[in-house]
Amino acid sequence: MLHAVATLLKASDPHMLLAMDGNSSSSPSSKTDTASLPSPHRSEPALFFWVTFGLSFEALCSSPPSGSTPASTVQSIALEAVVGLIRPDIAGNALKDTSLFEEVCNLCYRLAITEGIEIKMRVLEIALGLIQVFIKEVASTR
Amino acid sequence: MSSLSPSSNEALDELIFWGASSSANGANGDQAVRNDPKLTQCLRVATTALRESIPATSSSAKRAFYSRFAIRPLSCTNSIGQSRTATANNLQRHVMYTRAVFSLYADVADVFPSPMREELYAIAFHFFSRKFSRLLYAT
Repeated sequence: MLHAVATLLKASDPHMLLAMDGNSSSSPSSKTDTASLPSPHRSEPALFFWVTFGLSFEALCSSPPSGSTPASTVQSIALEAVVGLIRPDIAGNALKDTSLFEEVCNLCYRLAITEGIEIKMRVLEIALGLIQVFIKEVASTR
Repeated sequence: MSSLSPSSNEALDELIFWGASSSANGANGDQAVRNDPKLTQCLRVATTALRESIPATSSSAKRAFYSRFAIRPLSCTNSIGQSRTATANNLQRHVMYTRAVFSLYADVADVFPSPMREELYAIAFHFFSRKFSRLLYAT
């Protein structure tokens, strides 16, 4: 499920962007529905942001299940989902909360030090996403 | 060239973080960007991910050890006689991800204004040279 959400968020799929807000639209490609897509300047996170973020975070923090899927694949999928979730049109101002930001950074540190290069690449993607968010904030406050 | 010890890694780390995030006293630097604590933290994460992806500068002794085998000739066998042909895939995969990591770090550098961008590129070149020297030594 996380893989599907991550892939669709990465592709900026309008159905998924609307679904994250709890809206369902049969034809999101029309002009009116495109206008109703979440704004990158929103203040509140999307309706299902915390649920999806919690699932991703849990998958990254807990020990991997002893199933057929390798741990690195599960981590990679969860990190891909986090990359999609930290977009400003999904997360809103949620990541401006210092405690959440610190948690994400600490998790990224741990993964960058202990995991393989594929996971490090995802960590860099998260760092890039966060930097893009915060540099806009710094630029707007100047 | 042998891999760095954890203590020298920490010293290098400090130097790099000094260059990446704490050179806030630069006269022509963008003070607002340099002094932002969240951007500093993000830069630390990005630089750590880049540093740890290079076996020569990684703080993980295990990863540095295994990296030596990944760049050996592909036809060699290990101590119990198993063929190491699988390393061809590992090496190809490692090269692909290393390129992606450097590319992403360059993207990170490009987000920052000019004075910091050059500093971040310098860090990337430093790590690239470490990786390259490691490969030259191994061959």
